[in-house]
Amino acid sequence: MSKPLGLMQEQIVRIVLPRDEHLDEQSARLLAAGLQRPRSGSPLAVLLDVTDVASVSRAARAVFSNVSTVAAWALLGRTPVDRILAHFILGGDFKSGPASYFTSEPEALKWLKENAHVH
Amino acid sequence: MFTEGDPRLGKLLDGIVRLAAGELHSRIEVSPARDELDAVIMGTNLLAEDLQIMYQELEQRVELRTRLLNEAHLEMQKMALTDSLTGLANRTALVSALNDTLAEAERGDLPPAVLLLDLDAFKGINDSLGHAAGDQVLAAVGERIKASVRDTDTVARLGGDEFAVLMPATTLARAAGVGNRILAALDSQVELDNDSVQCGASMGLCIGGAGQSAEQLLMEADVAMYASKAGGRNRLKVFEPAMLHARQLRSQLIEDLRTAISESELVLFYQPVVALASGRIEGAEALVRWQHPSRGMVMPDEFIPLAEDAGLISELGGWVLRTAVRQLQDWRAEGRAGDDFSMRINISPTDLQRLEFIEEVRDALSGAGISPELLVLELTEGAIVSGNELDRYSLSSLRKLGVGLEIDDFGTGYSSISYLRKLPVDKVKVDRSLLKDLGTDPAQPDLIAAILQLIRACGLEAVWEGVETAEQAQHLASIGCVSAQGYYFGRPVPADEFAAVLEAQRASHHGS
Repeated sequence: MSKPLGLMQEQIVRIVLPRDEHLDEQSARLLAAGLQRPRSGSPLAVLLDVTDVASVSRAARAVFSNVSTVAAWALLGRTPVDRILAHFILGGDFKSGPASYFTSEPEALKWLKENAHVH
Repeated sequence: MFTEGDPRLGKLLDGIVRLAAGELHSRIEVSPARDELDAVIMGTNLLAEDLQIMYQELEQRVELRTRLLNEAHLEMQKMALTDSLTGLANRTALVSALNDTLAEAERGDLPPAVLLLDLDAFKGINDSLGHAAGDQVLAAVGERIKASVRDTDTVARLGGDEFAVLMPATTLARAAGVGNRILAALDSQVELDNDSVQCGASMGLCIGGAGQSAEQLLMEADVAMYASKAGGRNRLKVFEPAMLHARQLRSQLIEDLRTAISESELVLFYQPVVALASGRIEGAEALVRWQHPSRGMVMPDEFIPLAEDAGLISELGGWVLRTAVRQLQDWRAEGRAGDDFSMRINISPTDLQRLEFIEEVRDALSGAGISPELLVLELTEGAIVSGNELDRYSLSSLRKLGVGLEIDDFGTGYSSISYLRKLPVDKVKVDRSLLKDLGTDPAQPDLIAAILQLIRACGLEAVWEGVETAEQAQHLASIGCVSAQGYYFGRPVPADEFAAVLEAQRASHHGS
């Protein structure tokens, strides 16, 4: 589910949530467990793609906001439903860094680079 | 975009109605269009989920708090029925259990029995070894009692050193057996950190009769326990109605004593203290007597313990203090007593426990215009040696006030020599028993000389009590003893007789 983007800087991790599926707490934890800070010590930024996800439970949302290793979160979606879902995720208090919603991937990546101080 | 006839609108409205009805688990279907209307539906779903979870969390919290509250309530209930020191039942729990067993007895069961006991030596342990040691003893006693009874019996601590055992549905023989087992268990020493103490008990037993209340049963057990105390310790007494009569007599006597103090039925007798070298009376010891309207003269050894038990000892002591000091004032005003004549009174250990006592002494002296060094307070060796902080505070305050302090009955107690040097007293009164064998036991003169030396080495002066013969007086004078008291010099007499003796002394002094 999570894979490093070969073409991008290694510090940005892209997570694509499965379409038409409900994301529960357990799945969210599995995803979060993979978000380890790179050994180089450079910050980790996450592009979280919520496009066409059926729903994300409240507990799963809380898992994302409590990950401490991530320096910035960009949530990516397409439809108004994605936007609402993303904002419910963003409603959690992201402790480790800024988080924002985008409908354009390039904009999201650009924002991530600026906000996670990824070089 | 959705149109006016879009069926999702109707579903959304229905969904919100369900949510409004409290069905927070219901969700509204999101269509594959995922347009604005779907977004509103999704938002509604997510809000409903949040609300549902918050409700659940709130309910869980309320449930948890309710449980904690119930547990605390149970704990408090338990505490309210438990003696915290020993973990035994307390009086409330005992009375409640007693009421239950009495009710069962009414329905045809065997009656309950109540054993009441209090420890014989407990006050001494508390005073001499401290309250922590006292607490240890109480806990150990509680354990021993518990180990001596059946599981169905209730062991309670009623306060202080008083314990009770309730045996439901039993017989007199069986209950007495348990009582004796407890006494035997208490007979062996209790080991403390640095000491071991023996702590016997006085025990009363009574069996519940028809129609008796818990309070009545406890009262009868109490009466039996007092009878046990009076009849020699460490034994079991079974309640008999005759005991109630003895108790009533005692209560009557206490009532009489209360009246005696307020109605001036008490009188002071005075016994001279004499300077051995000159034979002059240098002071008087005031001794209290009770002129009982129907029983005649009652001696202090009969009513002082009664006053102590009834909490009247301070009142009695206060009366003695004021009366003796006033008497001294009169004799001085009449020219019978000079500046070297002192008044001695006996004070009880209870007086040292009262902070007001020092004030009372000060007031009595200043009220009579008597200089403090003319008053000597006599107290027993035990009261001084085994006293606690408050006793020591009182003693040092009295010393600061300037009154004389004297150990009474010296030689009968247990002062260690090293302790004697540190005691806040000026004088000792050597007990009469030490003079008794003078003249018959050849070793006695040496012993008396040694005691005198010891007292002097400690920087104290002695009054020798119990001088009955001229030989004794001469012997004491010959070895340099200063003061003495005894029948040889004069018995305790009423104030007017003593005044006459003083008058005679004054006349002979002027005449010579």
